Amino acid sequence: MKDDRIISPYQGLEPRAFWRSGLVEAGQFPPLDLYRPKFVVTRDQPVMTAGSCFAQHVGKALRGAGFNVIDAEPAPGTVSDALAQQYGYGLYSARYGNIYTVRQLLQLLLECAGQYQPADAVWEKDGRFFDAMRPGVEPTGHDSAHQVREARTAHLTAVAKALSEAQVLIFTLGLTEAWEHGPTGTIYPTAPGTIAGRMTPDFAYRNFRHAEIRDDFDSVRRLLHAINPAMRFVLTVSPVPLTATASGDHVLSATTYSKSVLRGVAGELAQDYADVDYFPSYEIVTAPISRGAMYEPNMRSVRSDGVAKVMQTFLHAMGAAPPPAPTKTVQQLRAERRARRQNPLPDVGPANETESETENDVICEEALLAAFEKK
Amino acid sequence: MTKVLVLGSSHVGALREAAEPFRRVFPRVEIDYFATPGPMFRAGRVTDAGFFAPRRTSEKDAAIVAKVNDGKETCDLGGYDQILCVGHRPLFVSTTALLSAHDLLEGSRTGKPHLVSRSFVLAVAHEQLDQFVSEIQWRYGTKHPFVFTLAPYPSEGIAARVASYPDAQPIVDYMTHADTPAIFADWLSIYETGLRAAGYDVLHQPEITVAGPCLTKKRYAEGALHADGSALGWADHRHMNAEFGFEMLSALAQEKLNIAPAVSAA
Repeated sequence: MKDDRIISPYQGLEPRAFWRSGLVEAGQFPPLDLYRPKFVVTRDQPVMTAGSCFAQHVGKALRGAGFNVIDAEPAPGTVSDALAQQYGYGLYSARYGNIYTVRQLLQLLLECAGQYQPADAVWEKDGRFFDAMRPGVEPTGHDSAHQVREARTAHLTAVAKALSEAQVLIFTLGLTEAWEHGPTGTIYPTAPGTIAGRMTPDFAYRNFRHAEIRDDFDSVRRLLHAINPAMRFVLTVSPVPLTATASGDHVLSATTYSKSVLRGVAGELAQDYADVDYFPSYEIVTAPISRGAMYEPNMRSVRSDGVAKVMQTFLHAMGAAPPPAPTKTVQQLRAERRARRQNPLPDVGPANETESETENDVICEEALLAAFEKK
Repeated sequence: MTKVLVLGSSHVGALREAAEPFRRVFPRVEIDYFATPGPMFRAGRVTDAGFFAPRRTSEKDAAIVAKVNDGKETCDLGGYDQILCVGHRPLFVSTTALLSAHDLLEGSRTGKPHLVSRSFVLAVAHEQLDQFVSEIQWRYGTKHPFVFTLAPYPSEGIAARVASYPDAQPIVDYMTHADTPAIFADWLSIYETGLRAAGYDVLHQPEITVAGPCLTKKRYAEGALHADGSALGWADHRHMNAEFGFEMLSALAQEKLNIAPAVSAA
């Protein structure tokens, strides 16, 4: 006889499937079962890191935990980390600086393979010359355009070496908005005129769509599998909001759009490919339960303890660190909420607010856009 | 009479050895000397009472300082027109070490696997020398008329030692590097600008003694003595002789005190 009792498909699911048991009553945040990696990244596997400025934290934490993070362009001699990082050393697996969009990553890989030449690749400012594809890595620029090209050739050789060694690429998706050289489609990491170069009618605003980003990543994946068929990918989405938008939307809406699209693409890729995984750094920082507490007072930069929480979650999932210490129970969080009601935070984002200068600071050209804000 | 104090590490020895010939040529300059072993000197500082106090951590240290300085363990800095401070050594070699695995983008190609920009090399030099100047300010203050001179550049004769003395290799490396002259000129300029901005005067090693960027002619290292007058080993490439000391004192008198030699040095 047929059993006509209706049983909910949610019945019997693990506690992590439910908001209350998986999060609110999980006892700690992030919950220990938030991230179940598809594959384990081991300490001996050569890892390449790239992405938007939040990705700098990933490389730093992995190195600190003894992972084999590739550094194909090491800083010379013994210099302070702070100075080395100002010049793009030690941030990623080579000195490509921040790669905010997947298109930018694709361009770099194609250029390494000799299949692509960026247009208008040298920008000038006050008689100094900058690599338009990574304008932040030489803060005072070069003496000539020739030197920029020579440095870029050496850089591409180093990137190619890193790619040939890498078994895992950890890529942090940062932005959908970018500036494009209209006639050629070349995408730049910063708007012309931000660090160097000049805005001309040749440059146009571009806001990448889900399908475009998906296609770009598919191309990236194909290219990297041609180098190493066993290459695996861990994608994350940066929880750092946009400093500014040129979309015409409010920056909050633009941020939500951008992050949603990136999160959607990352999720789709992780669903489609066994060699692509998604790590929820975005969720850890932005979850309602965090109540923004992982952000600095500017509500944009991620606090060092927030970064630590993200990275410890990742390392724990990889079996490379103990679980994150239980931090705050829901009861504690509620008590904090009550306290905040009684002593509300000051208005967010005062006009004269400066970025914090802590050890946790990252090199983020995008933050320079704040200087263009009307005061 | 112009009064000068020469204060420093074992490198004071070369200048003290030149005291007699210097007095004959510059009779209007009276010089006192105060020397301690390098580590005690470099970790010493000027007290609120205006004395230079070398860092002594034991009775033995104190005894060494007293023995070299006629019983004095500290040095009263009052009453001098100039105090020549000899023996600090911010390391140029740590700047040139940047080129051990990198070629200078703007310089020559020697087959190194990476390129580094001159801008980065200068930024590193700035960082290191700014730190040096900050320490000098903390140790010396600005109440006294200090003139800083670097410890003598290593003797070019060090090249002969490299097979048996691995520490010489970085110096030999920069001796032979085509980009060293430009980098050293920049480095020296950053050093001088930093000290002057902090309120100190600077005396450079006289050109006549210089064999190349950050190198002293070999003959100035021959026959050098310790600050206590004892002979140095044949292979010492840091300490200089009385002839070198005379050139330093002579440069001080002429460049910083505007005193011309009363008689020919010859």
